[in-house]
Amino acid sequence: MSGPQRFGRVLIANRGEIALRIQRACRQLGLETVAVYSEADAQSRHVLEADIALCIGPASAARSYLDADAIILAAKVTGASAIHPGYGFLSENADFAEAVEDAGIVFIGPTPASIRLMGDKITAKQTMQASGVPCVPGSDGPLPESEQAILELANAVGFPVIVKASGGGGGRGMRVVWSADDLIKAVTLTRKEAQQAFGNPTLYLERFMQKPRHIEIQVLCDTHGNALWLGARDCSLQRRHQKVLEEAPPPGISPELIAEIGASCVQACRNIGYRGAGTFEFLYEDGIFAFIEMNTRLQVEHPITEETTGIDIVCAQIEIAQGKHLTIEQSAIHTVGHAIECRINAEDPFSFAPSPGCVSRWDVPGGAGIRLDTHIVAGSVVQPYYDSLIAKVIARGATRSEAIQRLKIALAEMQVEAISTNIPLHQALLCDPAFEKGGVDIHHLEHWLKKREHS
Amino acid sequence: MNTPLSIPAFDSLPNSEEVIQISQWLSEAGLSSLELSNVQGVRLRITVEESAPPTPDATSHTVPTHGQPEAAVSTSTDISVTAPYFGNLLRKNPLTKEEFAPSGSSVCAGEVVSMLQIGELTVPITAPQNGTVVQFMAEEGDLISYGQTILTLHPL
Repeated sequence: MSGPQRFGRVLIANRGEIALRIQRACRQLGLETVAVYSEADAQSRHVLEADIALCIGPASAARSYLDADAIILAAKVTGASAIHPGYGFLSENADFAEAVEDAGIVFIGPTPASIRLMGDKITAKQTMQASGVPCVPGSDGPLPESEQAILELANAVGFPVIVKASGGGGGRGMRVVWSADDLIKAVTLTRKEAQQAFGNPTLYLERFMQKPRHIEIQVLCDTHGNALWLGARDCSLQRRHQKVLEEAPPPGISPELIAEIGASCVQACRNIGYRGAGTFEFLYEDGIFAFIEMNTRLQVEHPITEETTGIDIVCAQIEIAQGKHLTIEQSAIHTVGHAIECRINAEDPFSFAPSPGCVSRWDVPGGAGIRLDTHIVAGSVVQPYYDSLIAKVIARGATRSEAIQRLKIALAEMQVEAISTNIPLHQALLCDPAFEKGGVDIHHLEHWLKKREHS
Repeated sequence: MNTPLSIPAFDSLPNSEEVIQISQWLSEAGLSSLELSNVQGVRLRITVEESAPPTPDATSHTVPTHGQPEAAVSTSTDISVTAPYFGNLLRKNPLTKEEFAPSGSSVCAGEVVSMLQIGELTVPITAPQNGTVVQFMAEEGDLISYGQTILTLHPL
């Protein structure tokens, strides 16, 4: 890649493993890096290894990593002409992206308009529907009055369906209907309740997804109309909506179906003029994909896509921000082998209570197919102020079972002392027969944890 | 959003009455000068003749609210004066070119001992208490981090 560069020095507005990951990508591309950090992170690896490091505030994230003004001023005083927001913190803050661009600095991410559009769930879903991205099948508006029309609609959507009050929310004013026989009774009841509870009898219905999986599609778009999808990830293992373990590709879903969904995501990107990396999140059940939301940033779990496609997503983000063309064609992108990522958190593996403190021992795994993304070294202090992610262990194999086997060995090699980690949880999960079989739903981990509690 | 010390753009130079009013405000605030410029290159600089030494109250309101100087006790009785924000160090007054607080000089609590330049903004660094400047720990123009020690002060 040659030609004039829009920027030569990148400010990384983040901390932890992702700050280090972005720093590596900048080095790869011959760019200088600026680390901005809080007082608590003064001894962090990304700070010590940056070309320029500037403490911008105290430990509190609100006064450091979330202080948009301070970060933009820091870019000015350090001469950084681009800002990479990483994930979390300000990464999906449209006002921040706009302020960065207004200050004449390149924002390594989508346009503020795209962030805003996807930040609102209703406009996001409408935009996706308009582009042909599958959404939860449903009435797409208020239910008709006629019983016959309601029945026809529900049959077309497919049972089970969930009847919801337009004015409802928080789990109130909704009823799951398992068959056509119960539909009219349920609609009448819910309508009455909706009128009483919300003063609004309007109802709509959607296909009820009982045991969906969380499947997501990674996209990359340049500013010259090229848009690519880089395969899918299965992130169904979640606890309290937090992903714990992710894998690519999703086991048991046909590549043809994923390709169809991928193509629709790419079309949506073209329609909205999307720029940079992004992720389309879907619920998947019985062959049906239903769009949930789009994340307009780099994801924690991006490495499993990198490991299975060979594409460096962070380098690509930066090159796109430089205004360069994506040089790879969709037809050249293949998912090869299998990759699994375990998020290692500093937390108790049973109670999930955070476990900050000084790490006295940090023996890391290695060998074929193992990648470790972390900012921790022996002697590092895990800070109580930020999230508890301390490492990502990523295993790649020719097959899923090879990846699992490598992951088991890697986790056994990893020795961490003086803080608690969720490594034992991952080890137990990897031996769970349902996980081994593949394709568990988004409720599986919570059920599994409940069972563990009782045994 | 914290934008301390931001001054709105001005389109025309103030008239002489307004200049007198501004001078009075400066004097009351214990400030010695003010400089404004806009993108068209219009510049206004008002310098007030020697006034009474600034009092802690007079200068403290120019410090951004989230940037109160913090003093850390060192091993001796000397105290560290730390940066309330980040930026390039101005040990000299950019207008008069005089050092705010040369080594060995006595300063009062609240007195400006240096400034931080952050783009077009400047943030004062003030003495947390009365004392004598022992030693500067950073050079003119250095990029200073939040909380970095600027100088040590021997309390009086």
